[in-house]
Amino acid sequence: MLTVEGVSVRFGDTVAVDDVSFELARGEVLAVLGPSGCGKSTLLRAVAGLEELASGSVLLEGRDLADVPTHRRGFALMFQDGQLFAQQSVAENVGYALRLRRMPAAKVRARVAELLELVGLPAYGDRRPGTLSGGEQQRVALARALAAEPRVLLLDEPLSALDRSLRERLAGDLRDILVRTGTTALLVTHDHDEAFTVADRMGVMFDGRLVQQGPTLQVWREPADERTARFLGFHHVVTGEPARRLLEAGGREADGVEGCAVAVRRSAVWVTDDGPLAGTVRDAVAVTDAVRLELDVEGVGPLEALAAQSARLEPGARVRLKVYGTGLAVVPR
Amino acid sequence: MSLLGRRAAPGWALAALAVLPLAFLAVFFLLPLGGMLARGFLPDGTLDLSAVGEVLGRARTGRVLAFTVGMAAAGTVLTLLLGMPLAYVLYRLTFPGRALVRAVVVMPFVLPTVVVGVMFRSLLAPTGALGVLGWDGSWVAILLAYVFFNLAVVVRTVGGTWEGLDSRAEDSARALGATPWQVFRTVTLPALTPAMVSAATLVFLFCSTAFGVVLTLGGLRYGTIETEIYLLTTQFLDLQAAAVLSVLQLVAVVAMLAVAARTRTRREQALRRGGARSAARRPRSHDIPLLSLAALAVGFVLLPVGSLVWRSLHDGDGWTLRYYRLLGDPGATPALRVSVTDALGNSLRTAIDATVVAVVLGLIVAVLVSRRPSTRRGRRLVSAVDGAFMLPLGISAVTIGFGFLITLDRPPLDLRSSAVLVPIAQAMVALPLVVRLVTPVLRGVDPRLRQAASALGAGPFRAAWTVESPVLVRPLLAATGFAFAVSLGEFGATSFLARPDRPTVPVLIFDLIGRPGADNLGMALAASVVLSVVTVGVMGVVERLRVAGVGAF
Amino acid sequence: MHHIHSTRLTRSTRLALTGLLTLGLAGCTLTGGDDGDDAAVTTGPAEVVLVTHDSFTLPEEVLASFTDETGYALDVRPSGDAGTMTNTLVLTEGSPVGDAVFGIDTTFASRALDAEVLAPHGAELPGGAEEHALEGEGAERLAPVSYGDVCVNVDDTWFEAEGLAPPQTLEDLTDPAYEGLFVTPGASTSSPGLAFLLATVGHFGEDGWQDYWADLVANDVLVTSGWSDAYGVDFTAGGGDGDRPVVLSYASSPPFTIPEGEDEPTTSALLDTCFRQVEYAGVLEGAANPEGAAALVEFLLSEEVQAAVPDAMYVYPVRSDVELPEVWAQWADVADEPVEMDPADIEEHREEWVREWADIATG
Repeated sequence: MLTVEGVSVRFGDTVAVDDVSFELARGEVLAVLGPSGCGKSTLLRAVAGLEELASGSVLLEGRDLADVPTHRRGFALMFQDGQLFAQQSVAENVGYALRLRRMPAAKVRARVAELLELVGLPAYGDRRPGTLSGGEQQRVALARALAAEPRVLLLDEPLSALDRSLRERLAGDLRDILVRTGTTALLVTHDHDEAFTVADRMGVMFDGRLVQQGPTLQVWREPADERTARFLGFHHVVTGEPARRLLEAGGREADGVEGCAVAVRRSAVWVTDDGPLAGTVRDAVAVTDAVRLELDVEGVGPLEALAAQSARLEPGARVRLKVYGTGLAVVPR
Repeated sequence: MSLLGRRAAPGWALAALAVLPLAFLAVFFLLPLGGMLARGFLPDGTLDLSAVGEVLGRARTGRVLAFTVGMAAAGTVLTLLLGMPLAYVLYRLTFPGRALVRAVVVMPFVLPTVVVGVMFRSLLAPTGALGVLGWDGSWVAILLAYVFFNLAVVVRTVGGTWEGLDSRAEDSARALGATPWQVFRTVTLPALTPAMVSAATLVFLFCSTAFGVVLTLGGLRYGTIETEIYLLTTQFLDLQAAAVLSVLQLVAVVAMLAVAARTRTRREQALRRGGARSAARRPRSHDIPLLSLAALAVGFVLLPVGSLVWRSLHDGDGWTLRYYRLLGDPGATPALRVSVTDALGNSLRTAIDATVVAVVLGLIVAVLVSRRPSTRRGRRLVSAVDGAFMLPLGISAVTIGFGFLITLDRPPLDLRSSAVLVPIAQAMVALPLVVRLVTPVLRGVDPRLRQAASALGAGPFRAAWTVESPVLVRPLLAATGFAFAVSLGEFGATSFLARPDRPTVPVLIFDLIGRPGADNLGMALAASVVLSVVTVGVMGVVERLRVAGVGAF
Repeated sequence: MHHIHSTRLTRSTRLALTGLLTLGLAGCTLTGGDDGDDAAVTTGPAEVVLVTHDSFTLPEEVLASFTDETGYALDVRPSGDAGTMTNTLVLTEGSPVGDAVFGIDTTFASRALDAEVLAPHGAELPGGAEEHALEGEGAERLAPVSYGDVCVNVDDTWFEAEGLAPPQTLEDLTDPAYEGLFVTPGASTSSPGLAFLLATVGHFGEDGWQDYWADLVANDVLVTSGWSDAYGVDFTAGGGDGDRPVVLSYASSPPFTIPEGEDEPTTSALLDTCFRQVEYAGVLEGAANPEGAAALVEFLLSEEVQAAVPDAMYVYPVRSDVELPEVWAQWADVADEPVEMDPADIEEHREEWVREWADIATG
């Protein structure tokens, strides 16, 4: 169990990490999600022992790590651009931690082969990092980190530098590998899809503070405030009567939410033949698996929605809309 | 279609770029060297190699060669050992006064050897502060002087690269369980190797051709190839033997350069220059061992410099500014042909000319040797050009100085008594420094950036300019400062030229120290302090520009 | 494209580039100015180029009067020490680097004459100069201008404080009473050092000096590379804090040790240990301006220059009719019977002697 208690990190007068606390159980993956510059990478480095704490403590299995230097913490760190050692081969990179522990060469070879297999790069051992694609480099970096059998694996935006489809595929693989190896991991990212796919639990960080944490699905569905909601992909936030109408249309309890706002995902509103709401199309753009619409919804106002690709919708068209309650979140104002 | 790109590099573009520096090298290095060798081997127009066997057969020759190479190697290793912690502290940590310390470290580089010799000897002589060590007149003193003079080369060259390294690779290794030493050995050191080889090459060349300090500190007991050539040429006029030793020197230097080039190309990689991550940080408790080593190195620099300052401010009776006052008064002693301000003016003007020549040519050479032609022959050629511009550092200044006189004596190259020869001789010493400081940075530029600029419609030169000029600002400024410092302090090569009588500060110091009387000695020391302070000032200004230049990345 | 790239240049980049450009321009103008000067050299005989050693100085007004009297501009080109300068002349034989030379000394005169780099100077020697002139036909090519005695100096204050009588002769220096007290620059790297070696050769004979030097070494003589090192670091009265009260220097050195406010030097030269070095001037063979060169040699022998020589270069004028500066007359006597040696002899044996000396003195 990794425990972070009231950790703050300061750079001169600026507070990069402000009184952050969380716990990470063994075998669990926690994602800290936040916009760039929110202090999440600094938090990660503080956990790794690479930044000095202004206050608070980091504990592993109840033991304070304050006097334990980075290299004795038994962690591993993976960056968005891999940071492979350019002068070493792929196999040498992966076997780095093993060689540090003076594991016999034959065993290192076997273990490296196993890990390269695990990350889907068998037979890459003799290549140089410079000859690999971005995705391959990240896989090697992951294998290198896993080779250390880290007590906690620290991932700094591990997939952000990759293109979208590769990122999606690799996020799935990463989740799979972490679960299979039972690795405890702390992931920081600004990409909520990445966090959602890889992590069991999720924390949201703004301006150095951890504003919300909980199981991934729970945070995903119940953002603690409007800012969090917007960051998690809720495109609109409506209040008052329109909010009540949306909740009702989505089949959610609308009583007792006066004074709150309702955050709406684009995917919560779909064009159907007989939905409870009506609206006028202002703009329509085809995306890969749907048509994205901008609408004026009667009694609600401007809203984004999705339609099946088969639908032919021109600006000005009148449509009926269905609302899925899971795509709505009630947030305090 | 990029002309300077790594694939499509038509010969003519590279050739056109190469003409200027190659012509410079041919006229001001190969021609004089060839002239002197011809005098030695073709005394009467016919080949006479009789001296070869005789000189090589002498027991003394073997001893001198072994001493030269051994001392230069030991000096290089020691300088690296002491310079690396200092480079780390001055380029990876921030603390108040860092710019000043960076500038102070460069001071030895410009001090005239004769002054350093006197300062070292007054410390090491039996009555000196360090007399108990018994190093006076021993090879240890020579070794220390090598380190003293060359520390700046290591700190600058390695520090510049270290400053730009992305620290996250080190972080990864640390997190994987590598101890600080293991991180250094497996991650940092390989990344620094090209810069270290560059620095070591320069230091080795400087050490193996040092002669003033060997003569002063070795008390004549030790001879190097350089001092032998000096004696043979200036005392005995035995040009045959001198030519044999010059060739020996040339062979040794070429062999050393070849080894260095191999090591460097094997290790050189597109360096990932870090962004904000690599920013230097404040010292922490675990930096104490390195801080102490760095403090030791700075102390080592400051001890002779400090005793120089102290003695320039003391006469028999106590503190005094008398020697500084006398410097301003040309009537104080006949040795003072001009006031120190005039001499400083001469020094600065010469140094500016030399710096311009060295930086312009050095930049062209650096651009040239940072290209990576796709053919093996092309790569060999580039590597040969790279080495060729290092050669002047490894060849005796006496040989080149006299070579100037016998080869540059008729039109169109009737230059030997022209004023331009002095800055040119200085530029030749500074040029390799510029090349070594700038090339690693250019080699680290991802060629795809240039290709991207070309794809956007930039012509070859525009593409190179767009992509490379921003990263060049810092190393180029560093190189400029360095070249300037070298020219300010250079005395060896120029002392063999018949030069127009406009004494520079080192010449003035040399004149003063060569005369009896406490005043003359005191003034020589004071002038050395003035020279150092001006140098530190110039380097300090360059440091400021460098700091401002961070935004260029 | 243009403004894309100019916005990419940050302020500091531009600043730096401007700086470089400024440097460049400054360099151009400076060198350009020099080129102007040099053009004059080749356009006519209006200038005389004097090749000399690094220690050459004369007061501005003295140099100016040469131009006033002869109409020739004077261009002085220092070219290293006397040996380096002589070798320069030998190497550039037939295409000299100047018109006239000053500073070839006794030890290098033969080399310059043998290499035939000098033309007859045609100057008339003034009274007193004759006794310093070379013998034979060298006399018409090298005119003596000044001379100096290289002598052992002692720190009288030190000896007084120790209650020890200072040494007087070369032989005294091997006396165990003076063990570890003598420092001298080496013959292979220093011209006074070579002069001292020649003094011992002259005094003890071609076969006797080796034993003398072995005795000196046994008596713990310290050999440094240069004079400045010996005098400035190791000598007790040379401004440093040395520990050797006996040093090889010049007969003209003692006046420099007169403490401020007093009128007596604390050191003295041992006049029985001196070697006489004469410095000569001449016209270079193949000079562009031989008339000017001859005029310059004449000028160097004029009363004006001769009177200025002691204060400017610490050597004695060859003319007997000029007055020495007061402190010189009082404290800087020349030796009555210095060791003098034929330059041809020196040239013939120099390498042999220096090598032999190096083996004995520096191990």
